[in-house]
Amino acid sequence: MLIVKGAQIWKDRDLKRLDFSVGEGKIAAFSPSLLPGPQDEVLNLSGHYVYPGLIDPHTHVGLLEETTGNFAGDDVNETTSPATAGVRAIDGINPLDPGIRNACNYGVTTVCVMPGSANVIGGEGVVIKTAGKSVDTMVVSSAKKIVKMAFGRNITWTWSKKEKYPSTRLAVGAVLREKLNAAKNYMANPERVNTYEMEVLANLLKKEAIARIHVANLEDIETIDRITREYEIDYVLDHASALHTNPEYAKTLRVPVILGPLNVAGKSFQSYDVTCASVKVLLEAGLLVSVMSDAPVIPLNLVRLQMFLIDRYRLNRADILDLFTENPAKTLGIEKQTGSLDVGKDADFIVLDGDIFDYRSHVRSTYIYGKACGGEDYEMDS
Amino acid sequence: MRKKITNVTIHSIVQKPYKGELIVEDGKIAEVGKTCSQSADEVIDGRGGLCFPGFIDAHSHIGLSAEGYGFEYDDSNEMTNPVTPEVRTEDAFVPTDAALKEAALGGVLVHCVLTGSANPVGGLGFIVRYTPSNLTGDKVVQRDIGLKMATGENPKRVYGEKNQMPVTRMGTAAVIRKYLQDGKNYIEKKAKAQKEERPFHDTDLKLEIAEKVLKKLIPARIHCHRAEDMLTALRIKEEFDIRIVIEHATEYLKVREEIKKSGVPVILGPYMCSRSKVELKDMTYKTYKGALEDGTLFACISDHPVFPSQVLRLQAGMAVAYGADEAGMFRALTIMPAQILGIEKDFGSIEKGKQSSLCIWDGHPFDSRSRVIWNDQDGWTTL
Repeated sequence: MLIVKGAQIWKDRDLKRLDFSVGEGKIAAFSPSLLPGPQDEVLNLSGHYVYPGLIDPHTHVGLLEETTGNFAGDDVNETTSPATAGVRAIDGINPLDPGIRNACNYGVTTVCVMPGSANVIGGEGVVIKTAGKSVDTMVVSSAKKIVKMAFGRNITWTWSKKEKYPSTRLAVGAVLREKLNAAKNYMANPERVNTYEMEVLANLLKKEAIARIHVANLEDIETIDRITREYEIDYVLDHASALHTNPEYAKTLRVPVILGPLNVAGKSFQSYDVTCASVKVLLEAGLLVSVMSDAPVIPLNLVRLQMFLIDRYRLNRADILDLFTENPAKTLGIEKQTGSLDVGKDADFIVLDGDIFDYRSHVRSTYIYGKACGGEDYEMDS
Repeated sequence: MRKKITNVTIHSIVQKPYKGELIVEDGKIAEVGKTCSQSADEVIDGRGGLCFPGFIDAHSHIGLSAEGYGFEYDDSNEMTNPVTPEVRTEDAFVPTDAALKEAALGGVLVHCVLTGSANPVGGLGFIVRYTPSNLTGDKVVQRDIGLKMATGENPKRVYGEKNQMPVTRMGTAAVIRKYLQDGKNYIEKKAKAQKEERPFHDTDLKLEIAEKVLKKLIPARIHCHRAEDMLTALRIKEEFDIRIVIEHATEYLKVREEIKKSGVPVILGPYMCSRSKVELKDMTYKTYKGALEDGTLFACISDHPVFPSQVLRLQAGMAVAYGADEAGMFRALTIMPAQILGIEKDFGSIEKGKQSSLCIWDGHPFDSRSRVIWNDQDGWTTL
């Protein structure tokens, strides 16, 4: 057992002075004072703060690699067809991407990695822990199956340049309908020829997978809502930059939203509405809200920057931490495994030398499955 | 909430104008007449203005190339395939397009939003009404109201440049005919499966829409400028026994007998633009007078953004200058488009039971100096 002693720990939405023990990668017990046995390893963290490892529910780390230039490590968009449900993020991830090391060193212990937004249906995403050399050992298997999708200008930008369908927003929804209809036909056909693409889409119709839909503007959110109702599939809105402009409408949607990246310049009209205030508005609308970095759009060594910016809106800090921990865990379906410090959950935690909201405090070490595997110092050493 | 509008001249469209009052309750006209007996929670003094039903622009691309955005909201034509019945204008519509608010100031409160005319088989249109909301859902009057098709220069220009069928008028008609024939075969295939009690697992979304057209559930809205194109449209209508509406019908006067005989409604306009193509060579405002004389069911339209929907009323005024009957032109902005679109139970005139789609004008709508001072969505308007 590992006995963590002396730290202020973030538990049940507050900082508490508790010790805890870790066995077989999971949190075993909490107590104001734990007495280590002869076999136990003791980690004395007096004067330190322990938080659950952060979760980033929307990244492209490992797929859109850092430091490899524009081609060699760029595997984020299979732009040869507007619907590529059959491709899988796991097959493109380089676990040694500095972007993943960054995540771990700066406190992010779990990331969802997905294809980009050039295709209406991009492919399957995967949830991984941020330490390991083989992506297969990093996979969080309890996570929901994820199918990345996208609406709006990234699609029409990509395909109109090629003079291919869908070159306008008229046809974006039609691509999704066409594929979901094909999957319906596939499922109904007793003599079907098995294809991976159709199996992935069938998972959506069977509600064994969720659609993760990149979208910015309100009118596209309405279109997504119509189509997902038509085909009865579960979905999450990713980015949803303009949803806060109609909170009454947002209330009616009852879907999780993943906002961000919040500190970017507007490169298109569809980023006009991006603001940290959307977090407040949508939390008040009662939605399950998480925040993404979209790394490498915002590299994960800056993950806490968005936390600080949201903090300026004077929300309850427990609510803010939830945006980076429990809420993404729930959205990804891994809340029983990680996202908070509780008995039986993975011992994914981070040790800071101050309050996590104090920009001067550093992540001294990151633990995944109870093993030290990173921290800001680690980067300095290497 | 019951509102009473007083001190207006009511231009109901179905009666001669008269000084009167009306009661609006829950978004509908509850009473209209010289005096109204029902009590009201709020009285709106119409300031002696002219109360008209909201005009209906039955052929528009408003919201599909939202103004001031360029590429990101340029979604009128999916020019990558000549047959795209499955695309929907509702999916691309931008409810915050500034043109909608301006159109309301010009008295246009209902728009039928169609795809462009690049494709022989273009896509599904829908009908919106003006509201200040930023949601498309709040504006929808009716979905999937017709399948846009196109003949003439546009398809053959777009696909000619790509060296892809159709590059001629013959090719365009063949593309449309093939699509409809595929639809007929599809209906048979479905019926066969049903007869043999087999599950049908070949649902085709493109052909589902052909089925709707072939079963006359929705009309084909066929873009035709030249007389020969209108005759082709009528030929296809006969061959496949479908409902059609002829859009633009620039050379209407040359085939007025044929159109009259067919009973097909026509959408006339836009005329407040230049003759930018050969097929517009004989464009004339006199067409409106002719269509009124023929008793043809027609609408006066802007084809926004060809010219802004806000000034649709001036086109109707120009028609009057070219001899058209004024009351007839008001019908061409209201009840006739409502009938063509199948929304006449709710829109197109001021009658008890219809939607309160209403404007109060400070002067005659065909006078460019007049404007809408009140509408049922915004109340008193500001420029």
